[in-house]
Amino acid sequence: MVKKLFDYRQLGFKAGLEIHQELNLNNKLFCKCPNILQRGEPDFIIKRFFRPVMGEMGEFDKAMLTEYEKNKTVVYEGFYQSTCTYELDETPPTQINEEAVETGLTLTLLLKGTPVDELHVCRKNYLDGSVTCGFQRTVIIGLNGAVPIENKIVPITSISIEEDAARKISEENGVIRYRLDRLGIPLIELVTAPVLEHPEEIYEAAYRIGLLLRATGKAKRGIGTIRQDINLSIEGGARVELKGVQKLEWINRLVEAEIQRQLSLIDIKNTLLERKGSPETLVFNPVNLSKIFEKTKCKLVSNSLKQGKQVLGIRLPYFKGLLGRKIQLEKSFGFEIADKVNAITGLKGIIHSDEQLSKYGFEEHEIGEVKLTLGLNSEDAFALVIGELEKANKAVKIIVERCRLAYTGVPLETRRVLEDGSSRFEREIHGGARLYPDTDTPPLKISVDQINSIQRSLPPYPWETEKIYSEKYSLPIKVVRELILEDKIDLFIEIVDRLSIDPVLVSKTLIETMKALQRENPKFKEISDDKIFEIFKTLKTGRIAKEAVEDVMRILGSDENITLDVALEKLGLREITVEELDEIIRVCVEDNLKLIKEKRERAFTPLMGEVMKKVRGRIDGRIVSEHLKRELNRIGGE
Amino acid sequence: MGFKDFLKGYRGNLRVILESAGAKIWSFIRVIRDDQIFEGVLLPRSDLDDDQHINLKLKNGYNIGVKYSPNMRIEVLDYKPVSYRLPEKKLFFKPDKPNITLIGTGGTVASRLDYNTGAVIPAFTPSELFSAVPEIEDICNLTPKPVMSVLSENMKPEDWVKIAKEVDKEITNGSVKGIIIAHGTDTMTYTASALSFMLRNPPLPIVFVGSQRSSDRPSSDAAFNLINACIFAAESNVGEVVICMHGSSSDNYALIHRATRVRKMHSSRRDAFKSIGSIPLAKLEAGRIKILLKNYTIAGAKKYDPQISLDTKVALLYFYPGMDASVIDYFIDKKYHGIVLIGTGLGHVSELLLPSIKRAVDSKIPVLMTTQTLWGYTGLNVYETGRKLLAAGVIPCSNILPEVAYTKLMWVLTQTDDLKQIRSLINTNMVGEILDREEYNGFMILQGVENGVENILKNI
Ligand SMILES: [Zn+2]
Repeated sequence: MVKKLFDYRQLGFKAGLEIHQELNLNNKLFCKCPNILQRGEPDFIIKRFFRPVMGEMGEFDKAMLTEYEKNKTVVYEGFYQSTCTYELDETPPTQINEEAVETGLTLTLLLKGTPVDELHVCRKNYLDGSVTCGFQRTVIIGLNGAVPIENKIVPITSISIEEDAARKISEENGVIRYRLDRLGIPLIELVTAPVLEHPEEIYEAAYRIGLLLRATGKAKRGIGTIRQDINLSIEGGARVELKGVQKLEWINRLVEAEIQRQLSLIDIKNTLLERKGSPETLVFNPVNLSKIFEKTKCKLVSNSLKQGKQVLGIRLPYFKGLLGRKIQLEKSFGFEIADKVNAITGLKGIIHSDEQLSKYGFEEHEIGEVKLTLGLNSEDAFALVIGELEKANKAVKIIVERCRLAYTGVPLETRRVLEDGSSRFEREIHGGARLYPDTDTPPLKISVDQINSIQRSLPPYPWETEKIYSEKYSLPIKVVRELILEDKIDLFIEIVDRLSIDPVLVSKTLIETMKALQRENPKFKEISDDKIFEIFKTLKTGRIAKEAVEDVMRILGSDENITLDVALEKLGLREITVEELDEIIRVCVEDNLKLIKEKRERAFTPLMGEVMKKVRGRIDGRIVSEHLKRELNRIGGE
Repeated sequence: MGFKDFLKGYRGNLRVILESAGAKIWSFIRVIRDDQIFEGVLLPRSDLDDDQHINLKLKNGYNIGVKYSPNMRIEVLDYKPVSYRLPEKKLFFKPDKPNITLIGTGGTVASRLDYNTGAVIPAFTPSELFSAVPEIEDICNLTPKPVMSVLSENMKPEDWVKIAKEVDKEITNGSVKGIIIAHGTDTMTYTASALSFMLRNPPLPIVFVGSQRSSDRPSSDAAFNLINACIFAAESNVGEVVICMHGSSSDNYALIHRATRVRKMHSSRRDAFKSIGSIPLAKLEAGRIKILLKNYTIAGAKKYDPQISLDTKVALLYFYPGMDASVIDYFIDKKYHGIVLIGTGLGHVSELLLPSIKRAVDSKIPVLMTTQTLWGYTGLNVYETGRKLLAAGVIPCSNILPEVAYTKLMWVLTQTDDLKQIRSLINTNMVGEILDREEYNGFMILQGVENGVENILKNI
């Protein structure tokens, strides 16, 4: 694919960032549960449903209602160790975690923002089930901060702390499973003003904010502990929130794919207007077409009909050719609609007239009859939905509403990013009505003394870190930055400083070797920092050669339960016992009796070489020499 | 109240500057303090908070408190009053559905936020209820009748009588299939057991319902409990006063507890209500009623016997080591008509209280004994102390729960003031308050704590 280059200025591109960072505190934000993620089978299961409530401003949030329409059962997996009755929404919150508040204040002051005088905990509704009580507790700590990037100052509109949501484990057949260990872990949230005008600026701002978060010393590390959401829009488009950007290197690709999508949607809008269409022509009038397909050869449809499902059809005036149009990477507008139907109703997909219908096994006359029944005109398209009547009706409603929105171009949406750079519908954009005061927590005053004491012990600004490390270790800035982004900088420093190993070798291993291994094996597991440190330690002691480091890592990454010793053993680098050594020496001496008789003491060196060939890296050379000498003496004595 | 304060919760200097700027609650204002500017909607402030901060709702939806400063300036940019109402919903009478009356007492089955206390207050109009819980329409014709708006903890025995009279009125009217009483959970078991004695053998189910998560929360248990109460009131043939609440922490089934054997055993869990020493009366799951206690009273099988009054001069006293005998003397001096003691173990109190207890009995004040252990029977013949208490004239209450002994005595005292008859009535099982035998596992079953309880209930 040819790389698209957009003129961002001409597009009127504007973006803002929302950054969530998990904090590495001992306890959760509103209860005393430990801040850990757990593995294995959960200890217990809880099942719940959700209903909508009104915001304090007297309105239902539209996004909330969409979630409610999904009408899903939520199953929670709990662990006795990391889940108490608070996470189960069975006990009111305790006092807010003071360390979290302090971290929020530290960050506010680092960003030269205004700390809030009196903290008011708010509830932010989450009806997707990811928070058991239906709302996340969140509190603004600071306002009006700023972070400098290359050529501008990026305003930080708010700094808040909030509870992380539960981890989604699966979603099938209308049942969502969440794991509760992550629920309630303190997060810090930063929101920038929408002043970023190029993907590179987004990258730079996200990177710098990430450095600042690290500077507080309270940021958790590792994949998924920091999450970026990007709000972006272009002229004529609309604000779309891209959620769940886990790596900064994705930013460029994601932004490009979203711009492609918005431009395509604007094109579709223009085509509709050229055809003199209007949203009013789209009427929610599903027609039951099941009869037409009674004898169909299309397996999909005939099987569904046998299960009592129905085929509903809807005429989409003026949409001919538009459903098949590619709007994001290889995904068509029809796919986007189907994806939204799937996200809300769980129905697998829709069939539309811009598809090659013969591939489903439909026959000409069936399609002809559909067109006739729906009263299709030459510029019209149609869509078919297959499912239980109620669900299918809901799906048709979503299709009609989405097609009406096509007349506005780009709908306001929150979209979840996917690895390939595209994104899928998650929900309508949440409005202010989603927030209301938490009645379970009292307001908390922040004293001037507290601010002053935090101000006095602020950590130094991290902007200069890159330069300092680059000089100290004689590495290019680019490499240092990569170590920081990959969260390997602390490990790097520890290995280089404590073991005095060549910084180039260490940085290459941590970045390039790691990436190569991940490419080679998609299931490659992250190797813990402790294990990597141990590998370098064995390298230092001479037990393994430089070349073996990669092999050891390959084995360790294939299964997280493998210990370093096991890996070394697999490579034939297992430590041998003294008894085994003695046996090797005995055999070697026996084979070389002639040489020993001839050369006497001088036979030691060649014999040592021979034994070491067999045991190198598996036992200390000094022991080998000692035992070989002893054996030679014994023989000499005989 | 009637009087509407446009600057609710603001006092002192802050109120003065807000007033002079023409700001009202819900005004969109700009607050300028030195070089800082805050913009947002002015929110009410709780009277219990200080007078030094302005509550603002920022454009991003978050609330903050902005500290007062003498050089602070306020500008009003806009004003948009808001109303907090659920959408109105028209109701249609369906002749094929049973009629149910929902008596409202001020619990949290339907409630909303209150800015005065920052807490939740009840909102109880029919339309609000139906738009909040549309499922009810398919079960019954539900008519809400708010009779009082009293928080559970503020409820008095006089209120129990008032509620009983309302219920009796509905019963004698004869057009309803069942009655639901929405009640705060804190004192629900008191009210429910009092009604059990006042309205014996009701010809229909009388179902108390409440919620542990107020209905202003998405995860509220109010709708679930109310729907199940409606099903039980509309479809069961049980002629008793019962309580309908969550059976587990999940939203999977509700339990029906006999009003005289149930207690709130957790301060906040959904499944806080537990039948004590016995299993619940019924379980409701996926709209189906499963009776668990076979010995229930069938509606209409016995003659309805309302005797609606209570003698409210009864005290309920929790014994503790070191308790001063003058505590009992106080109630004698105040001319109380009855005392219920909650003793330790088998029903013991310190022998230092004996003279005062004797004095009470001599003054014709019945002194009842229940146990703090909740599970098990009083047994005053086992130890010396018990025998001394018996000799002093204490009336042991078998295994009647302390709160139930309290409401029962209130009712018994309206029937007789003869100590002998009181003793006999107390020990007569009237509405299931006494278990004549305790089953082996009655001690622990369905407490929500033992391993595998979820599975036990799944398979009942
Ligand atoms: Zn917890």
